[in-house]
Amino acid sequence: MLFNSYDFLLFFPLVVLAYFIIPAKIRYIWILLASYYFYSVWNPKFVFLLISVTVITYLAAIGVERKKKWPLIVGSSVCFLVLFGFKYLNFVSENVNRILSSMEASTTIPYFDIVLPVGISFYTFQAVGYVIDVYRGKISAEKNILRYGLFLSFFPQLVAGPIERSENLLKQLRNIHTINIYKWENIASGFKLMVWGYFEKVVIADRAAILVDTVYNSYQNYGFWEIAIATILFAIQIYCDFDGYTNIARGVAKMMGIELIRNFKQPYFAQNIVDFWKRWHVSLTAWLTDYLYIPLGGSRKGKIRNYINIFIVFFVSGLWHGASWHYIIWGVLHAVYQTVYKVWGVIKEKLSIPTWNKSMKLINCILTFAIVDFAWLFFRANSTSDAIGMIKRMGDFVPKVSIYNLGLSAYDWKILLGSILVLFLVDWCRERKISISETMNRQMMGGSIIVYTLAVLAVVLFGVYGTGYDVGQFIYFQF
Amino acid sequence: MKKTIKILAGCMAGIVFAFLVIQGLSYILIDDSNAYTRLTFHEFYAQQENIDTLYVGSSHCFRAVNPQIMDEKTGKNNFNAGTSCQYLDGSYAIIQEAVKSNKLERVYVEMYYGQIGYEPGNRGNTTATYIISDYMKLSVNKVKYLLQATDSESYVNSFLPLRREINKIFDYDYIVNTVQNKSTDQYKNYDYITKDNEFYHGKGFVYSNYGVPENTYGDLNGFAQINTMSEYDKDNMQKIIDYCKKHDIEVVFFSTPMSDFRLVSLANYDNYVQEIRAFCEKNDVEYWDFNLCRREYMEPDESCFIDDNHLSGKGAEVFSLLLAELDNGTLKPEDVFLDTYQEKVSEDKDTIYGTILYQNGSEYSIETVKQDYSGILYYTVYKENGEESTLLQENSENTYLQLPEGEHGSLRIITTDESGMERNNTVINY
Repeated sequence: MLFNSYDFLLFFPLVVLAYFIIPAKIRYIWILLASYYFYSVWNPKFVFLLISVTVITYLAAIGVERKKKWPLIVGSSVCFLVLFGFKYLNFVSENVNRILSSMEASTTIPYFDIVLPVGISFYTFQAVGYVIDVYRGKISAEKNILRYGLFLSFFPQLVAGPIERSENLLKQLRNIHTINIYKWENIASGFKLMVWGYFEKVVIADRAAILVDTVYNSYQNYGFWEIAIATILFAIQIYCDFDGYTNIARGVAKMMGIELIRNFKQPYFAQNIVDFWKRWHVSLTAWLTDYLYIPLGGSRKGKIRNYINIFIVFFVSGLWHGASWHYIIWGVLHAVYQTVYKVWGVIKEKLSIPTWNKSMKLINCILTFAIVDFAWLFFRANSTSDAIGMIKRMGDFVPKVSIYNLGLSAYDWKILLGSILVLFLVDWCRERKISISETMNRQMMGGSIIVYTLAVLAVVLFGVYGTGYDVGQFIYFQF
Repeated sequence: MKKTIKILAGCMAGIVFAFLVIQGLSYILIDDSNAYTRLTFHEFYAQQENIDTLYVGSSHCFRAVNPQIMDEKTGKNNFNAGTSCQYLDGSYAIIQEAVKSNKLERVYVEMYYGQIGYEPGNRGNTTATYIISDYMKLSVNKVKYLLQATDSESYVNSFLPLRREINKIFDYDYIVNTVQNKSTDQYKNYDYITKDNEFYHGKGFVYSNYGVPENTYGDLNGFAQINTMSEYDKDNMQKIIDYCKKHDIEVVFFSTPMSDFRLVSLANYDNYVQEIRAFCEKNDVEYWDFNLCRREYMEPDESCFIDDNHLSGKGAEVFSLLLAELDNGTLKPEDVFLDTYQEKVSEDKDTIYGTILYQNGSEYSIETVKQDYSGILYYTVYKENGEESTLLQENSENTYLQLPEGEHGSLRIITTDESGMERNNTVINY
């Protein structure tokens, strides 16, 4: 059930309405049922997988609380094995077979017809994170399996994050029956988040996707300019797609009195690559930092070890996104960026090179965006060979076609550029800690009504959906 | 409580503001100043007198049935609610709409074969639905019609016409033109429209004041063969029949005359006739196919058509007079109609109906649509480009031509028989 589908637009108000009506003590059961229904719509068989991960990690956490380490190892291992089986088994088979073939071996490892369960990367990490948190004493093990089941399956964030922490989400779910849900502020701010999320998704992301897909699916016909434009637009597309999803998820949760963490903090205003990763997919970065980077030693075991740890973390990050070399290359590229940045920091210090002053902020921003966007080329490409092919094609500086022959009409370009400008302004306000909601509220009531009404109309009128379009699936659903 | 009222007031204000924005944008972006259905439905709802006889169907209906003649000859109030490409679900919706404020005695449902064989999901033509729904009054009937006749992907477009035209929002010239058109008294007063060679005549009828010149029928690649009825068609046809029976309305299904050039080249028109007739007989209702009309009752020549399947104003007069006699009971259907079209056309002797040019890449072949002609035919072919005319072949039996791949233009094909008489002279765009 996509967030930008009629089914969801019917589903969530019914769920939220019932949530307001039913007795407080069984609210979490209602949301649990709704969440499992939501998940079953994708594929009913996936529900059993989710239940399995839930039961295993529920028991592991209880075992861990009794000061036993082995439930942590067993629980985590089983979860990762499940993830490996569904997501990476065929990738490994394919590559091993490639090696065997190059050695002219007659044996081959079988290839399985596996359907990747939606959201598995997200809830697996969320579950393992919870067990580790219990082991570390950050939170007590949840004794109510239904409540714990809700923590893993909470439908707004189930299929594409954010990867929630037990300290945030589980704590709120434990007190869900005491939350005063009858607050107009929650409904209003939830609604605003959803409207903004839909704007990002159906007005910007799905529109940009038309051009990106046109170029990336037949890059051989294009050169530098077309590929560059498509890659820049992909940076916008993936940001708006993922942030849009997160905002819709946060909005729905907010309406129910639940706060989900922000996953994006104006990432393209980053001043350097380290800063970028503090702003992009924050929940995944935090998970990898807390559960992989720091346990590996982080930066506490010398520079060389630090660089190795960075490579491991970004290798895992790339692999987490997909079982394909082009995702891994994307991850490794970011590791290279991080390492180079750190090395450069050391060199600057040793040579006493002055730090760029604040007036160079824009240049920092642009440079950071440029290297991030170059990495996005690998992320979006259909394969590694396609990515390399595209880079080669970028040596051709002769424009091949008009920008109006890349899938977007003049009208689409105007809407896209206009809405990207709106996106920039909103992010700029957030960067300067200007609260748009509060600013609106300080105006006359009419001002905020006009703005939000126009926002809804913009989604309805300018959104890319319906006849002539494929309803765009959120990019991160495939992870 | 005060806060709740404030918030509810704010929501209402938002809804009103949204409504005003939509109305404003609709005014400047939707140019329906040339839409016949706008006038049709305005008159439909504004009828002072009870509509006794209603006609529904496609363009074949609104170009064929002259309500003024029908009124004069039958003494009843006749209304033609035909619209372009109207499908049976649209006909059903219009009938239901009419019943709300009229006591209908009879409904004629026009059955053009080209509207048969589709489901809403594969029609590829939502315009046919929208030209009806956009002018229906808001009602449960309208909502049901749109939910049924369009798929879920089209719902926003269906219920928000503005969205279909939103891509013109940056077209300044278009907006200026639209506002100018809508500011005229003609538009505001629903004055009848006149276009090139045709005009809105009133009560849904469009009069075309031109006809096809004699012996000039031609077509590129001929006509798609007729589909069989889909389950959706049967469902809607049954609904119409049941609804009319329930409201004590007599229903007659009918098909308007088309040129023999079209019908003969279809080759399976009788299959269509049999299928519709069988469905009607099963439900004990009449089906009058005027293509099976005996020639002594009506024999429309080319001047009665504006193309190979729509009647001209003159043709509509001829047709309406005959229809009125059947409606009155002056003539009986069993006297007027033959059983099959084949029966009718087999009486034609030595007849050339027209020319079809078949294209296969850069190769073209000429086929003459004829009946009972066994002699040799000769073809003179010119390639025409504005004033320029290039002779490709003269008086040759050859029916194969080769033209440059991808080239577009016009071919004039003159067909002569063995006696040298010109039998067909047509211009076909390739």
